Amino acid sequence: MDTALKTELTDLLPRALRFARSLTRDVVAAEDLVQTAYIKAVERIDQYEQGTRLDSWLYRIIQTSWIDEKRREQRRGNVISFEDARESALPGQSHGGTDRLFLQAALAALAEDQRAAVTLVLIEGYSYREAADILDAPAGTVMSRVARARKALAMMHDDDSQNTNRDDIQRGSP
Amino acid sequence: MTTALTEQDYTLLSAYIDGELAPTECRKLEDRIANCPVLTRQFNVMAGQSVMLRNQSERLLNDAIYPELSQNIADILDQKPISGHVHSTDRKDQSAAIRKAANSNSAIWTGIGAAAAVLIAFVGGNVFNQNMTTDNIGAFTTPNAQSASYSPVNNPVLDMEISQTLEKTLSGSIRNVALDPDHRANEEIQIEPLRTFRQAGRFCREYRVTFPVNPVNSDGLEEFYGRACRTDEGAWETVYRLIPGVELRDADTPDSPKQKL
Repeated sequence: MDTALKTELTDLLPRALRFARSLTRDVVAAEDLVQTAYIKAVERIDQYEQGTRLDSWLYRIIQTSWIDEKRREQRRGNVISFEDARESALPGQSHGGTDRLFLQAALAALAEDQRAAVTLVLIEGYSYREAADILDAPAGTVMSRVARARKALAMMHDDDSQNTNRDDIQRGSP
Repeated sequence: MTTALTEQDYTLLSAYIDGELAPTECRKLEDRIANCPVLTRQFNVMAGQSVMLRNQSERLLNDAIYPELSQNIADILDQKPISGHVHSTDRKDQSAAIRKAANSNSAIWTGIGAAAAVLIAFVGGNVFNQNMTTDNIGAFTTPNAQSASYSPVNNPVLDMEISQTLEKTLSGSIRNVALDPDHRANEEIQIEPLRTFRQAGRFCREYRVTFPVNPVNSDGLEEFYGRACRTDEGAWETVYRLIPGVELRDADTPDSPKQKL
């Protein structure tokens, strides 16, 4: 592997880790996933086409590695059901729906396909087409996933706002 | 006027926020947003959440990466054998502690969240297409700018500075400006373009404006976020501005949807 490519992959580590966190919802599992993905990236470096986006290529490997990991987990029977995960991850703060902690928890409560699409489009700034390429799904599907995710987040926002006792909020001080 | 949004409405709003709608669809949706309080409110919420998510995630990139992970990645790239994945559970707490300590931005966001986590999105000129100008190259299209009362977010001088910043400053670079031309206040405002993208055939940028600790206004405003798009004439039109800590007004409040900044 040439030095420039190695440097570029090294520089991508924080973003790769962030994407892995959004998929796994777990810091340690994300570190595992990133290492697995980097190993695969080195193994497949000949498949990378110079001049194309390296970040997209790496993200695609992270995504497929995560799918592989989940399949292995299913075979091992060590899987938390989506409903369990959703229950445990539902946002509990009453902060009107746009607070950092609320959004983190709300994001974690989304269905996995929606969370991955939201991460790539909203956070990483990919177009629908680019995200679709990474997720190996049609662009229309990505658009629907992002829209459904936004709707879910907005509904959580409304629920959270209704539960907010504004008299308890002290404004203007950290 | 819409009373309940359909799935298609959510899809259109979402694609509009992401800059993925065709120009003709953009115009139709903008007209609907301008005339429908329900749609306006949903747009405000969705756009606000998007900006907050993106910006809080940018801060995650500043988190420290556990040194052993960095070393393992370096070994992987050098195709050296690695000692094993970083995945022991007892390291999880340690790793989290390091990150918590290293992320100096946490306090700011936690503070904002605890103090007032509601966020407002003002839908500005671009959305409503009421403020097109052709003779004010490089200037923000801010209606009633001359008559606007002095406020950090409602200030024609700041609008001009933001416009110049969007015109000339790269994303991630910070431009310091002083609203007081004589620099008597000796306090500078920071304007940082966050990202650039194309929407409906135009270049659009999102940005953050950060005020000094003792802001020149009396509102105690710390920062706000905004999005503006560049017209063919070179003017930057505000799409919205988002102010952490300001309570969301009802969309059917007469002045809310058409608030111009």
